[in-house]
Amino acid sequence: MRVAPTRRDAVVGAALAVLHLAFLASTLDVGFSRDESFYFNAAEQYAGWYDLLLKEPGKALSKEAVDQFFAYNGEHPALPKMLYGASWRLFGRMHDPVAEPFSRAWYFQGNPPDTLLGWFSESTAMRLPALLLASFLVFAVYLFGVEFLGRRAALFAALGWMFQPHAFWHSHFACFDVPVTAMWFLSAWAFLKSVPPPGAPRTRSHVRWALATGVMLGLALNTKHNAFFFPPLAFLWWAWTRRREWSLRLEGAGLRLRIPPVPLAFFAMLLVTPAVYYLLWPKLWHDPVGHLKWYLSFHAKHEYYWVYYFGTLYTKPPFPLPFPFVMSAMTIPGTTVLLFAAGSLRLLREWVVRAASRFAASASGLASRLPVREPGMVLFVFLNFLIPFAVIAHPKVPHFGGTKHWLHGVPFACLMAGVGFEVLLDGLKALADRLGRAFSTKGVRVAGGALALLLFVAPAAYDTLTHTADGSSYYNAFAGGRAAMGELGMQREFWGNSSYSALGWVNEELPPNSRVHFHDTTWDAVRMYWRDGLLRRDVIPVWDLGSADELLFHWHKEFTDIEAEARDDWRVDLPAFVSAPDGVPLLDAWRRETPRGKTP
Amino acid sequence: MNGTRIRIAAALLLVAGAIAYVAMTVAQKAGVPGDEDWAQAAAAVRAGWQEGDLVVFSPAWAHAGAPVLRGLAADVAEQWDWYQASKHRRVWVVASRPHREPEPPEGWQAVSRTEAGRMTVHLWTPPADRTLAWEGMETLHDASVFRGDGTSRQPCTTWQDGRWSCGAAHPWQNVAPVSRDIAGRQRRVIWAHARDNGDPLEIRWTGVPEGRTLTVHVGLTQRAIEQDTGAPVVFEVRLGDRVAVRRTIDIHESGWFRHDIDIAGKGPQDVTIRVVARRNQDRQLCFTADVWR
Repeated sequence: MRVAPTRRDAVVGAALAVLHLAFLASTLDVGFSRDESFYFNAAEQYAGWYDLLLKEPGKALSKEAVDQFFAYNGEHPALPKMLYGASWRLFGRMHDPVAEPFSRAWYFQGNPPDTLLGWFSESTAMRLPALLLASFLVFAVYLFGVEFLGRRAALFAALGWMFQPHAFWHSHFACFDVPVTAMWFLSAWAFLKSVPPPGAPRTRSHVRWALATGVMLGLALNTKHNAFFFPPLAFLWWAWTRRREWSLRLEGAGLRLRIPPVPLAFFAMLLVTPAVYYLLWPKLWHDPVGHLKWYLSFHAKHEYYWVYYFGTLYTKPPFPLPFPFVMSAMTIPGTTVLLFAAGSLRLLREWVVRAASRFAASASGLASRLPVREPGMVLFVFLNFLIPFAVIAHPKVPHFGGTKHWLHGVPFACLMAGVGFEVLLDGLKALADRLGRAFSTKGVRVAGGALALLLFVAPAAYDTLTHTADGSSYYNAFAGGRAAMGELGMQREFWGNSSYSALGWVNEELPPNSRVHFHDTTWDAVRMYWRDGLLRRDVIPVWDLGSADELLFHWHKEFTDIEAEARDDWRVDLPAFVSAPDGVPLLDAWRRETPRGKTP
Repeated sequence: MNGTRIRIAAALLLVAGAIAYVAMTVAQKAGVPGDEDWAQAAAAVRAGWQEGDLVVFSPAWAHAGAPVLRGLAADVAEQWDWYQASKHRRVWVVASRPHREPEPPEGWQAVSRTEAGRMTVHLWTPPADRTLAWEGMETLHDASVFRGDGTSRQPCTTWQDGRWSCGAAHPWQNVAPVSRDIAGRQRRVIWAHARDNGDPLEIRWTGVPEGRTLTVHVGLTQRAIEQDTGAPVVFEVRLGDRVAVRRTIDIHESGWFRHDIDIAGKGPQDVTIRVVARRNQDRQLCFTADVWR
């Protein structure tokens, strides 16, 4: 049943969140991915709107101002980019265009704003809201776990979420995936709290949580479109768990439909959510229908991306259905995967026993020994895990190749892994009891529990903290480690961030004014490398082999023609630099041996 | 088994799984070669290097330390191509885990094996019972290229930047040596994009030296098989006027198809490659042709 988290729980959750923030903040050496670089650009452009808002608020709300400042990247809601832009404007250390005239070229319209607080580098300032949100999610996962699954499960769930190389890596980015994971989780939590358990009366607290659901879902939708799948999930869950309260009866001359009490959160989703959605997305202010129509159609007809999966390059539907499940099994630390499997089996067994107890008296005894759980809660957690995975699993949906598109289901998988941790502790307790009194003292039990936690968390923490710079290339040891990318033919990096690993070589080894083909790294990312002082400013970025002196080839199966062209045209057989964590090449730097325009 | 035993068994299984996971992590990390291992491997290769040798890696994708071998002929594709490698006098296999002890392919001889820290260096020689007499790729300049145009047949006379074109140079309607991803790896091939409306493209070599076998490989590029466009391509190898091979390649058909044609005792030959497709969009056909004595 529900257990209201105590102040001590809040302190533990906050401590975990602070620890997570400390880990994130101490591992900021993460290259800029393609999508992040576009959002850097968008955030910079949107930030200009704040200046206008302060100077001429009326004008800032006009269609002209919205079209001027929010024209770029309209295919995603503005909220995260507005937050990144605000944080950048407030905390970023900008370049002074008077002292460094060359730096003008690195900024939108050649116009760097003045430094205000100047606490962080520009990229870190952009990333700050995402880092804070990712840390808050740890707090939320812990408290959700305490409330619905117990403290032991909650502790592992929070740690299991913290220590996932892919999620941890994505948590650094000024992108949408971890923020929407947080928003989805908070929406789900608020929704569950807004629904009174069957038979219980509705209280003021439920009303407050229903309103919170409306607001949270509005924020989630304003973060990324994945959130559109939450209301159907919530409806499905409610309809199924209250299925016995539905009835259709013939009464007098007509039919009478009896439905269970409708959660207030649904009304909030209909009334509050659209208002929040509208208010926080300036592109909707003057053309809500037109822009929404364009936005939805953009995502409904999204182009397909390459997916390299078990040696096959998928370029169009049908994409492999098990992709998200298999990728997660391979890219979540093995010990967490083990506990997820154990937790899933226990929850399945509980469901079977409870279902059987309705029909067979012999099962009632078994059912009475099961942990007391709030009716429907396990299904709710399961659906929140399953639906994000299932949406991407559909063979006609773009699979993209990475793991971030179903990340919002993973905290719920961690809660199920938390139940697996309970399985482990229960079994160890039974073993201790069997071994005799000396093993069943409280001290031994606590020490055993701590060791068990260490055994399952330490490998995940090790995996995470040794893959901070290139988390998207992590595969767990059960899959063969990073070598799985080569051995099994899997995606190696996701996307474009691997240039970061070559910047040291570029800065130290290349002659002045070298023309570097940055391949999958974007112009916006290169601008930010310059702004953050990570790239020599004389380096000339080009995206054309004919005019390049070096190629930073990001290893993607779909792009090997580019690498081959460099090898052929430049008559070199081997790269001059290779970034290959654990021996698997993620980036090959090729260098022209004869001057441009001369045949080797 | 009663409930308590099941609970204990489940917990022990989980603990065993976690310990196995830790052990696998440690073993995997321990097997990764470092700079010193690569330096030792490179020194071993350079000490015995001869003109005409080739370096390959084992596993094929594991070229992390490749820069220390710069200047040597090497293959960094993610899969081996032993046929292509057999054109070299000897092959150095620079090996690390998980394939630190590779086995030579059938017909190859292992000459030596050297320990290099966490790596090993193997020297292999290709089958000794045959020698390469002729390569279409190397003699493309000597070939004659024709294209059908309705009922007429037009010679392509423009040789520019190592490509044959008909009339002005064209970005893809040409015949040229290129590297393309075909059947799982980059291959150095002759590009012969099909023409439209069933008009043929022909590449002819006259007086190809005598040998025992003419080996032809053919396939569509990865980019071609990804597309739903175009029509199946008919590929023919003609010896004089005789059709020695005819193969139809479907639009999604992936493969690097090998044909060994017996030419023993037949003297120098005229070899013609003919490519025909009813619709040519994205029909990026590529081939190689070699004569072995």
